[in-house]
Amino acid sequence: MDNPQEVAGPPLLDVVNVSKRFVVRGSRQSVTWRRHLTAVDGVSFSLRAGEITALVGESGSGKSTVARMLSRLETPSGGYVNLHGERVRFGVPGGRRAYLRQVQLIFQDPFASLNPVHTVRYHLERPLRVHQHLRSQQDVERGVAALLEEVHLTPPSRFIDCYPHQLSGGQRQRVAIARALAVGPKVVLADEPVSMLDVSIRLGVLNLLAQLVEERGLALMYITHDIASARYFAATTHVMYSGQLIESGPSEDVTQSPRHPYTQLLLESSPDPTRSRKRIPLSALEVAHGNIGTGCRFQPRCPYAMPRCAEEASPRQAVGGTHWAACWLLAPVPADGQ
Amino acid sequence: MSAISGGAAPVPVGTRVGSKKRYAAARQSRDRFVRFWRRLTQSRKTFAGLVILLIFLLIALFGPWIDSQSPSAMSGAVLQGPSTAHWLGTTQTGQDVAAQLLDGTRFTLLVSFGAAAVATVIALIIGIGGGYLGGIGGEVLSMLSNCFLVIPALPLVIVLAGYLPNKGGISLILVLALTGWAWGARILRAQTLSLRRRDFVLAARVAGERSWRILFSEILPHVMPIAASGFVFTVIFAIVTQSSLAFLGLGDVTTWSWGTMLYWAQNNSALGLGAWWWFVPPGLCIGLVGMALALINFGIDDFVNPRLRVTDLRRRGRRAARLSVAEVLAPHASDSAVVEAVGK
Ligand SMILES: Nc1ncnc2c1ncn2[C@@H]1O[C@H](COP(=O)(O)OP(=O)(O)OP(=O)(O)O)[C@@H](O)[C@H]1O
Ligand SMILES: [Mg+2]
Repeated sequence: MDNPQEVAGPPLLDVVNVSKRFVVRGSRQSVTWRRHLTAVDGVSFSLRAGEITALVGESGSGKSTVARMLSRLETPSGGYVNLHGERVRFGVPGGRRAYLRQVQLIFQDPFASLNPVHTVRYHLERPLRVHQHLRSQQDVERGVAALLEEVHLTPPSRFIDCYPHQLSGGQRQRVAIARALAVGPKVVLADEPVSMLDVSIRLGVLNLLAQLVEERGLALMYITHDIASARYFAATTHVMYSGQLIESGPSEDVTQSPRHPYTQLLLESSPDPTRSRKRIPLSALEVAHGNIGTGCRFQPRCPYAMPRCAEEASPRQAVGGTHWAACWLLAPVPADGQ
Repeated sequence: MSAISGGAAPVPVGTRVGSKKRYAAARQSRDRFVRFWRRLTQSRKTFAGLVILLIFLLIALFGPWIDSQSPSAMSGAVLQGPSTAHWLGTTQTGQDVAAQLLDGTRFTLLVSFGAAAVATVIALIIGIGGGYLGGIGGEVLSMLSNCFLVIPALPLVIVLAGYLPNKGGISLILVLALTGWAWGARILRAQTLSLRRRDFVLAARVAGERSWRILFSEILPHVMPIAASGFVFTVIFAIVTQSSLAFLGLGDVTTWSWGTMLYWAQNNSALGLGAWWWFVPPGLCIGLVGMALALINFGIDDFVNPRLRVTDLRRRGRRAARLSVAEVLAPHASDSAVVEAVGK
């Protein structure tokens, strides 16, 4: 985790130019009045074994939609995804189980992601039976106990028969993590895994995830709106704005020398103890996700907006190593669009 | 609900020790039932409804043992008021009203509960299945239930009953079920549509569960109270409709039910003759059972009503509040209970 420059192997999960368009209907359910909302627009990144990748962005930027597409709850409208170098066929229900055996999702809200009518045992033994094909009661029992121990819910016998409402938020999220681990995944997508938890227990859950990445060699995607936590937790950070990636690179570079104006604003507004600059409330950044056309989506709010920004969005501008940002400010000096 | 031992020690949350693993599943469903039952009988109204209904069910079950007279046997004792020989008097042809009532209770309840059961199964299949699967099939099922919803039930029943080759209990059940399922299906569909977007259903999908398993295991437990409420309403609907049908002479007038009793009483102008014992008992029975079922529905409403149900959070809050009041009143009396509330 601490050596992001290390040369990694081939990506486990390769996301290429993926988009998602939702059809939004008006209150009057007319056939003609339809609007399309592009929640995710041409997003590309890859996840590698044993590595934590952060996806950072404010509310509504499309982070969850990315996670839901990658866990096959939604079908992308464009682009493609490779798992182990093999194209994922989204429309086809056939490979769904095999895919989910590799890729799992941890939901944001542990109060909502566990069914209140089922016990911890039920939640954990189902994936063991479905994916690991455990049949005998003893095997399943042993598997459930091992999972509970792995997420530090010990002794397992104390939690195994609990209903979700008998557990605290942190304990529930650990059960949700155990449930994701039960299928034996290679890739775990964690959608704001600690944002619903009490501040005092967040670190414990994050440390658990880091430990699992190390021990199991997982590829973890850590979705968050807290860019400061991405710095400490993830090797690579992607910053998302209004459905697009606008900056990415090694977390240290992105958070210490942000190049995109949006990333800079995001960092200034985040409560990072190591910085003491004036804070801009995030609400001031709120954007009308209107139709910007081909221009930069951040342009209406950008303090450095130029005429060019309204016409055309900047391509990725490399700023050293794997660090890049999509902003015309970073274009080579004779800005003739090379 | 839990096996927390009392004491001031910081008892960890959810200390429910899994002792006999084999029985876990059985205990789980028993626990759920016990909780349901407790909350159902918490209200006095619901309890009264359950008692009344139970009495009627016992009458339906043991009717012939209570009064062994034949309901159709005629005798010379014509139009007599209640007496020890004829508890509820006799009809114009000297038939025993009490025997007719007992026989009629059995038939009426059998048909109404049977019809409600069939209607509820149809409503569950069409409501939950259509709601969860969505797509064109879901739309078609939704349209179907809307169609049935706007057709006035009684005229449809009359038309159907008129064409039935046989007017026995089974065909009556089917006719009533066919006209009574749509309301429940619509409500179940609406509920399912909101449940299928809930995180725990999505999480089950990500865990690799198949659709039918999600329907039965994740969604069905959450709509059970609504299905139960629908069942109760459909029983009321079936009793009233069935009695109207019989009263209009469109049922099988040789089978004893509360409706046929009213039909014969009306045909022989019992009201004009002042034979109140002939028409009051069946009318009263319809009213009483209807009331009992409505009272039971109050209890189920407590479950269904989202304001009272909501999340466990709210419930925990309420329980904690209740327990802390108890703690104030009797500081040591509810030690373990308080630990439980605080622990959560
Ligand atoms: N099923 C859907 N139908 C229509 N629009 C949707 C749907 N799901 C998401 N959206 C829209 O897509 C956009 C991105 O939503 P998404 O949930 O991915 O954001 P997010 O980055 O996860 O935000 P948050 O931090 O609040 O979780 C939002 O504007 C949202 O309204
Ligand atoms: Mg989200």
